[in-house]
Amino acid sequence: MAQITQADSISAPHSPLLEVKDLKTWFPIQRGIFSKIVGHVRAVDRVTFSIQKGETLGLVGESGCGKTTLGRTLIGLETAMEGQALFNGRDLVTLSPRERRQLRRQMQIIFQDPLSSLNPRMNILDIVTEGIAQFKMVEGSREDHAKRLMAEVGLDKEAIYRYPHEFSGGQRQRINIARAISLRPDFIVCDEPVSALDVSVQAQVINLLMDLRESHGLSYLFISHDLSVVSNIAGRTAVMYLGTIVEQGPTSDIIEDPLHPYTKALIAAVPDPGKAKIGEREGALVKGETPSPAAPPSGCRFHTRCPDIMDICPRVDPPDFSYETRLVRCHLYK
Amino acid sequence: MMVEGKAHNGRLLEVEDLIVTFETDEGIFRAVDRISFAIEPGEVLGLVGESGCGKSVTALSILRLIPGPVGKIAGGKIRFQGQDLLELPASKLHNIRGQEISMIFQEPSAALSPLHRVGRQLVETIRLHRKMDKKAAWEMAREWLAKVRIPDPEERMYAYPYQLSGGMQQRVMIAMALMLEPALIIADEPTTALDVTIQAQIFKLIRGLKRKDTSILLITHDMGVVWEMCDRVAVMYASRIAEKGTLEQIFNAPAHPYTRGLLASIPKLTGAKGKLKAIRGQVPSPFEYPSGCHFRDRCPHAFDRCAEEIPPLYEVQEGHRASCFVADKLVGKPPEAE
Repeated sequence: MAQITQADSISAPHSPLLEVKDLKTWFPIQRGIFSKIVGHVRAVDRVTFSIQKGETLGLVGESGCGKTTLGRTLIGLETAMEGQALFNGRDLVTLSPRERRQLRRQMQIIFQDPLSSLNPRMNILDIVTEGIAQFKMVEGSREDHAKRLMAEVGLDKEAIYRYPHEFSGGQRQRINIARAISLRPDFIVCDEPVSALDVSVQAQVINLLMDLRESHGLSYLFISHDLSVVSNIAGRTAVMYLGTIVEQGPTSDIIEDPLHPYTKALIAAVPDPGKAKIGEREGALVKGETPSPAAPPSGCRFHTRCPDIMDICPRVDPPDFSYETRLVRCHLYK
Repeated sequence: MMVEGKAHNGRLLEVEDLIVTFETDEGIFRAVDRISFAIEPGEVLGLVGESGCGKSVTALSILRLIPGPVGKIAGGKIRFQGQDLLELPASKLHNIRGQEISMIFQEPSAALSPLHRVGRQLVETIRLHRKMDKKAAWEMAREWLAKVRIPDPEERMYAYPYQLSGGMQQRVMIAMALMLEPALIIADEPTTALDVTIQAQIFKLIRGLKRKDTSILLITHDMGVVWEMCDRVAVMYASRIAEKGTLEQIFNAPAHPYTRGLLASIPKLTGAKGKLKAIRGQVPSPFEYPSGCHFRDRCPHAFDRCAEEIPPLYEVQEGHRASCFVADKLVGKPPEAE
């Protein structure tokens, strides 16, 4: 029933906000006094996905899988080597710096560490209105505009003259969110936005991001190592392993019935309080550790750890196979 | 020599009314405020709470590792196998550290010496506590690397810590903590720096390798880790214990509004989706703790009395205590009802 199809045929018929095709971000490894390039770290390697308007795509994977590099490439903080990333029909990979600057208003990023991403010498007023001043989008006075933004993210309006160090982690992340939404973007890359926060304030920030998604019609690429967080906020999810997306589709399908052996292993390893413990649960624990992205295994990248390895796996890198609602990069679903 | 699970009235470790203060430029504050708990032989106790709640300070106090003169154990007793560790002379404490009580830290790269090969560090630890020649100690260390499933243990004995991945370094730490067969292992966020698939491997390893009567004090902020590893749980909030009980009592019938809020706010992998039930407000700084109950500013059930007195740890079920005046009304009610 499943057949080989082009990756993009799975996406919904209406026009996507972001369409990424075979994107590659490799980092050169240089040696010697002439900085000879001796190899590449294949941080993002042949990645294809799309995000519809108003949709949240969760991007999960373990450290070093390339999820952050992917987000940074889309925003323009890293340069792609090859491939296409159409944002509202314009290719981010080949944009001129001037065009990119204009487009940047429409796409923002929220980082993991809420303190290091705020300039300690700027007060909140300057932080949240710097972008809108640049793009001449200030409505009324800068103070009034800043106060409105503060109210939107649930902070005290009068706090705009204070500095980042005077706030708690959760409040700082709200300031980052205020800065991100100030330009009325269409798309925000959320890179582990709650991972550095205390457990009891994580839920507040996740709820805020959900509210803003509604009120501003935002689309998110929600990057997280935590599947439980992603399962609450993202309608669709992509699972990354060693630079490639190994499985993507509706979040609930992926969590309830993972197809790719790596996704299975990842889900089996997540503690789920109140449910069966890992030791008592079905699904074997994956053995070994992630290989280096500088020298990924031949064929399927997961074959060195895969419990379902077949003869073909070390030889042939699987393409995306379409299986019901999902794309799976695994020979089992040919 | 190892004292075989010797315990004081059945308890391996008893912490009683522990107070730890820290002196900073802004003044003195209590990082740990009169907390008490006990660990039975063979038991895994989870001490769970958010950053700054005092859980790590509690762990460090047990081995008297609080950095002075800033930090000070200002009161209380810590009895281990019947003797008070706070009264013990430094020389005797030295014998207990590593041998009877060992520690696994969050950052293995910070806990291992970067200048010495893994093998040498293991051998040194063994020979410090056991009368063993170098060759036998080397053999024992190599065996333990194999036990914690490090591939090519012979080769890895010659590796420097930086040559190992985070997961492998943590395996070395676990080998180091377990190999002298201590009565108590204090594990401070042992898997926080690791990926989930590696975390699951480490859980399995610790559970499988610890002796039956070895106890673990597991410090974590992660309710998922508690669920996977612990027999009993003590929940800390803002320097005090909010609630303690068995794993089932804490997860199935939480009685303290903080525990209830925390469990309801954590995103679940499976089940209901959408908006989360967040606890309002944020953890106060130690200089801004409210009077009475430290949680009252954020509590949906707070009333006048909460500001006036510190609620004692009421027993709501056998072995299940919560520091809340309305704990008996809340216990067993689903958190959704709030």
